[in-house]
Amino acid sequence: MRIGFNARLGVAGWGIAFAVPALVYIMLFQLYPILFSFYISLHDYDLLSDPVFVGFKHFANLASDRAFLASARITIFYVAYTIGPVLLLSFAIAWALTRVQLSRPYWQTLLFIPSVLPIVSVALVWKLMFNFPGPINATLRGLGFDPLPWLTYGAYAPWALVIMSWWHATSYYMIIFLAGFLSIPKDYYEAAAIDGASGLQVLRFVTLPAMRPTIALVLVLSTVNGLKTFAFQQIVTDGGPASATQIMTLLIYKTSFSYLDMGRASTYSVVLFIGIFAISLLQIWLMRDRHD
Amino acid sequence: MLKIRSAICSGVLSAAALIAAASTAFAVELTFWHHTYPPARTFIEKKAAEFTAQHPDITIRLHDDPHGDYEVKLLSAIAAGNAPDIVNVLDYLFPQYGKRGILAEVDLSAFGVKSAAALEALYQPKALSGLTIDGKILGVPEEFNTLALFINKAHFKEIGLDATDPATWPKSWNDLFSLASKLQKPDNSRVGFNWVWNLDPYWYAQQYWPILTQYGCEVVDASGKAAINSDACVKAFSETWKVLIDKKLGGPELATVNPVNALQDFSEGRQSMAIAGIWAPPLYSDAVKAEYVVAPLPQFDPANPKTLLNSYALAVTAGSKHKKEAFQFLSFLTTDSDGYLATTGYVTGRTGWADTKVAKETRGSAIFAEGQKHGSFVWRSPTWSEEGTAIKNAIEQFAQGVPVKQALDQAAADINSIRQR
Amino acid sequence: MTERLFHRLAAWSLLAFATFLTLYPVAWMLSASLKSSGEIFTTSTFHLGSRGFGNYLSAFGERPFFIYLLNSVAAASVSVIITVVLGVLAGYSFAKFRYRLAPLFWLVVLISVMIPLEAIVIPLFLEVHAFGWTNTYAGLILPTAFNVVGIFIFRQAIISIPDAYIEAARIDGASELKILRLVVLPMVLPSAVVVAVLTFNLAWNSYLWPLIVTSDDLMRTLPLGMAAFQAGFDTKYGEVMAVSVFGALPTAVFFLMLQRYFVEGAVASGVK
Repeated sequence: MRIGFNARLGVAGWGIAFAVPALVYIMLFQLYPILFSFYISLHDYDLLSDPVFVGFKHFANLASDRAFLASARITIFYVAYTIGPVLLLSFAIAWALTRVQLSRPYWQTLLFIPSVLPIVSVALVWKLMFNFPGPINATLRGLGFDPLPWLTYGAYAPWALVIMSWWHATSYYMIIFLAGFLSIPKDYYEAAAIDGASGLQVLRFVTLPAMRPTIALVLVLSTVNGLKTFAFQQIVTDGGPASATQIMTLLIYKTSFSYLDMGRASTYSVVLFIGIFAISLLQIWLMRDRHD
Repeated sequence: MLKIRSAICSGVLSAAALIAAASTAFAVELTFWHHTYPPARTFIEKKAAEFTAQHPDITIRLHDDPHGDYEVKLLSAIAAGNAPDIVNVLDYLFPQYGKRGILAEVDLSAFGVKSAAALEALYQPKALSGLTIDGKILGVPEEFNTLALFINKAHFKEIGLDATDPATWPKSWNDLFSLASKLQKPDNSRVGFNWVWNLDPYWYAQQYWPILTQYGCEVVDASGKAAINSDACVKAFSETWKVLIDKKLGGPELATVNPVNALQDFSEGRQSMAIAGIWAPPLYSDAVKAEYVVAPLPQFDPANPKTLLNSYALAVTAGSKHKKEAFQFLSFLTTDSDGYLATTGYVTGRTGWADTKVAKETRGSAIFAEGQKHGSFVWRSPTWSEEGTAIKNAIEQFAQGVPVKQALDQAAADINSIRQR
Repeated sequence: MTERLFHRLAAWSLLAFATFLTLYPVAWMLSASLKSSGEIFTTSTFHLGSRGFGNYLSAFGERPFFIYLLNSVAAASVSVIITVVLGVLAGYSFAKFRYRLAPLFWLVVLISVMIPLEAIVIPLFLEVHAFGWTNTYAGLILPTAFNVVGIFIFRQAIISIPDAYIEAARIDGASELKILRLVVLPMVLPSAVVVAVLTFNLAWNSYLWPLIVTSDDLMRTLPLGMAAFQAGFDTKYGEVMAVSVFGALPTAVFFLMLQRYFVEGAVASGVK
């Protein structure tokens, strides 16, 4: 419920005035550059000489662009295999945190550590850990498995990045889930207890419905953040081996700065942006509260 | 739209320039961007101070960033019309920059010569050829390199060989691999030899280019079409790169990951032989510095040796407002060939660099000087980065077991589509 | 009752296992920072190495990391201030005001969350250059300072403030700015902690933008300093790990200081 009757021009004017600084900022430093990217995507532009208008040439070429298609597949693989486990793990850990009372601050602090480490440090540590003679393979050997060429085989490198992302992202979404759990009114559970509901029934009929908005938020955030990932792929594998981990942001980066093909890079940017937008809208629509 | 932007830029810039001019009379500050290499920084800063002592009105401001990052930043600055006065340009990028008119033609008078031929005479044969685009000399080498084989003599000693005796050096690639298998430790804590892995396309190219030329393989044929999947090329890769992997003597799993230093394993004594340039020893650990020996690059046909040439250039940007002063400093800097070699391990490519006392004291200088005579530059192309990536991908493919021919077919298809774009 | 016990047992084991997996790489990083390159892959995680704090000392001898640290702290702090101020204002506007432009404004905010920096970095650089901001602190900090997620968090927090409070103040004749200051602000302070931690962390990780926009060694931020250090000759992993640990300390300390308020803030802001 909002201040519906408040149609006084003065108040609405204040509302606009409060939003304007943020909007100016966004338009200046985000909206204008992305519109500029749209503009460049219609040109051949190598950064060094003047752009030449070519219409939708770069968009028409996408269907036969092997690097682009492979990168799109890699990006979807990465996001799909990252967010599922991350959602489950962060949900489960947050639930476990609600079950402990006194020790919660300690667990929570320790479990949040991955999110406060600099991303460069995280990437370097995992790069060394996945090294062939590194600690992960040592553990595998200890358990009686063969060591795996994590970062040098196309079959394993995408998984290495997915695994380290589980580790890194779980801590972040755990906090959001925990906040969601803690804001469920206690009387819901008390009512369920009086009705004699079992643990699973409570989960199915009380917790999940109450958590629906939080789950939606985490789903959208993790998808958007996954599609925007860059640093891990750049630092750990630089897109290799044989482009097996060349996620879309990295392809955009290389196409602009190594291949000096800004027209094509901007086209990729536009497609990525539209993709993120469409997927987010779809998720928001799927997760909408149907009782509204 | 871009025009408008540059109008805004130049407005702001000229206002800034006016203020600067008003406050500091005729003082000139040259900006100089270089890739990160601590010994070079030390040397250039020292020379800059000497230069300023001679020309009090000219100061030099040096900035460096790591490779990769360096190029990203330089391109952004060039795009904004805000390039530094002096830049450091990597070999394969030179045509990319030169063709697009962002580098200024060398000011002959700053080097005290009257003609291009006289400038070339200051340098070794071919030293300026990689820096000449459409008949114009657009830069001078900071490094003019070739490659050789570095050997850890302590490791040779363990298998009963004296690496100081040229007779023990591997002459052919097969010699190299059979030595490598003797030097390798069963638990792989040491390998005999390895190619570079997990680095940028040019690192790979430096290692395969001599092999390709030895086998008569061309990346691109005379008509501009990809030839990297020709029989000669398939043979070249199958008999060299692939052999090492198939025999489990080397390969990406046996290399320690390092994003920048290809020689980490040799440098720390985990690898007995490595292909590298004269610039490499400063990268070595102290233990390996004491033990390395330089041998010529192995050959397909030792009677007809072929190696790589590589030129890391210094150039002045076309947009610089102080070209004359910038070239004066470049001339001053690169004339100190001995200083460069002693401090940084760079060979400036000046005529007679190998005959000085400093060069004679540098291990392997004679072998490098000889190697320079048999070298050639990697293929020149404005889309080199993308083409090089296609070949790098092919190598990483066959390292995972894809047949060499199939991997190279893909690279050829990629290169053709890049060139048709 | 047994079910309850079972739940607690399950929760404890899950937390213990998750904490172990979370801390293992951190422990590995700490121990690697005390080792020489040769020891990193040959000794176990719990072996403390032979270098002591030698890696830290030699890394600091090579690069002015404290200056990089100050730059990073400055950039992250300004970023936090801008995000909190603009975020509270915009969040208040979206939560409690109705005007015709609101849906359009909201769409702009939604869109901006979805733009990856890599996609806009060149246009942004050209723009900032036109402002004459290259190689200045303004150029380094301002263009990427605003973390739009702040608007979402503040909006959620402000929605849960009863309208009656605001209306009562209005009827008393309080000006809109006074309402913001005396009614809204005190109630969103816990959320401000959440926004501050997330934004500080985001700014701390900024890499591509500072790289492109600065060209003065003393203006580098910590991540750039770490990269430049890594590219020096004879890279020693132990030193790289030492620098990584150092880079993690400020954000870790910042979070530890605020962590008591952090989850409370997240709950209060009704991130749900």
